[in-house]
Amino acid sequence: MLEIKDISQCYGPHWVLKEINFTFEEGRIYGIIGPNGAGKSTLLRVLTAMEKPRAGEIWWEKKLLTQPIPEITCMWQKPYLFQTTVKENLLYGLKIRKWPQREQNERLEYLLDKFRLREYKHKYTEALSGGEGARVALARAIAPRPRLLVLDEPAANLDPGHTGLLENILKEICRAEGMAAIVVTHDMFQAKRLADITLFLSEGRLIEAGTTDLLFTQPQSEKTRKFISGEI
Amino acid sequence: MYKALELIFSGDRELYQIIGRSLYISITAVVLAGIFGIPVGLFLGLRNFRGKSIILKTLYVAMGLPPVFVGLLVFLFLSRSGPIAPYFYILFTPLAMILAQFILAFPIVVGLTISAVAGKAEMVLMTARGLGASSRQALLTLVRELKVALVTALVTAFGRVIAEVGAVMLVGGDIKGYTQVLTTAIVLETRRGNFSLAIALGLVLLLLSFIVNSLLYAWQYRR
Ligand SMILES: Nc1ncnc2c1ncn2[C@@H]1O[C@H](COP(=O)(O)OP(=O)(O)OP(=O)(O)O)[C@@H](O)[C@H]1O
Ligand SMILES: [Mg+2]
Repeated sequence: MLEIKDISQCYGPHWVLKEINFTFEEGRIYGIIGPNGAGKSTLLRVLTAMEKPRAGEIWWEKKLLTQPIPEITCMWQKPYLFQTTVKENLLYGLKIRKWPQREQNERLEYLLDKFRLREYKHKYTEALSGGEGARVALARAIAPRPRLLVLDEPAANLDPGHTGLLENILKEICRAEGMAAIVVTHDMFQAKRLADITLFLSEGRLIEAGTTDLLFTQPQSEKTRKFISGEI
Repeated sequence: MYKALELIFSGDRELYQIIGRSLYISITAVVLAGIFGIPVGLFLGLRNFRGKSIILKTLYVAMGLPPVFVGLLVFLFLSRSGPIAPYFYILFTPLAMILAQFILAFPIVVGLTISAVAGKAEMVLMTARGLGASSRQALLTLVRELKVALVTALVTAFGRVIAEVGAVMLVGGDIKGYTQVLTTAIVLETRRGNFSLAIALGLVLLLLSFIVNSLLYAWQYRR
């Protein structure tokens, strides 16, 4: 579905991504793990075409990707909520896509229940707590039924209960609607619970990628082993 | 003082004409500064290109230009011996005053738009595009997200031009019933010893800025 070929990125003299190759398939959940500054967020910006890589290409179903496309939606590491109500935030992607009014309402009601946001429906986003805001940002990205959902540390502000909720919703939607998801996470246990396939990134290199079970039980690389055992 | 209030509340015709003219000239100048200044500010705030820092430095100088000096430049530009006099002669007309106030307001609108953009434009644009917006739609979303800052920029510019004397005096000439505005009338009436009218005009000026700023405040904190 989405193929990245020889992607490299640098800011000034500093190479943040180095020759990364990978193909993401439909309907799967991908976890990306790696230490701070490994280049995880940068990789997400590049593979969604928010940022032009210094070298390499992104392909979306046989087409070169040079501009962000509506089939891919994102939640960034520091989510920005529009300065209006929760309801308007959730409807943003639907209005852009000109969904019929009735479907917009149905989707809105579904998301409010699913993400336990009903009581905040008419609240302004300035007044939300960090975790409530994170749930709005998540629900907003899921709302327009993307083919690929890209999440950067979606659980960073969530308590264990809501983290579990998020993981269950993601699995459910991916199974039911065939959506694929790429989830960057610091939390190795979250990757274990959530991801079908895990990618380990370190110092801008894709060190290792494979089915989550295998990566965590039989890491091929010494670096991966050290990272998952908490040594680096 | 009592007489000043009486002038205001008795609906003195001349006084209200001056108020109307002041508002017309300053609002027109600020609206034009918004129409041209906001897009320029967005462009300068979002794009990086060679020579940008020179433009920004010039802009900061322009933001602090003394109004009299701007008045002088516009005067020279419009005067009989100036470059455009053979085609348009608009010195000592409200149009010339609008031009001078536009030149004062424009850099303020551009500068404040740039600082509004600097804070969060990238986040807003990335968020909008990450939810499926085209680059045009994302830009509209950005303007909507910046609306408080942009309106504040316009109100700041309005505050500067409505209270300014030097430039309008020079290019408008303070002609009674034609180019006289609140500030120039205050100067004239004070000189003539007509203090009650001068005080009335001053009160109106104060009241105007109070009203405009209260409206802005109420709008910002309306929820
Ligand atoms: N716009 C930028 N300009 C300059 N350097 C940048 C920029 N964005 C990221 N970097 C640098 O690139 C490196 C990778 O950053 P990135 O945000 O991708 O890391 P990350 O893996 O997401 O880290 P974290 O786990 O802390 O979120 C860091 O060293 C960072 O300082
Ligand atoms: Mg990051």
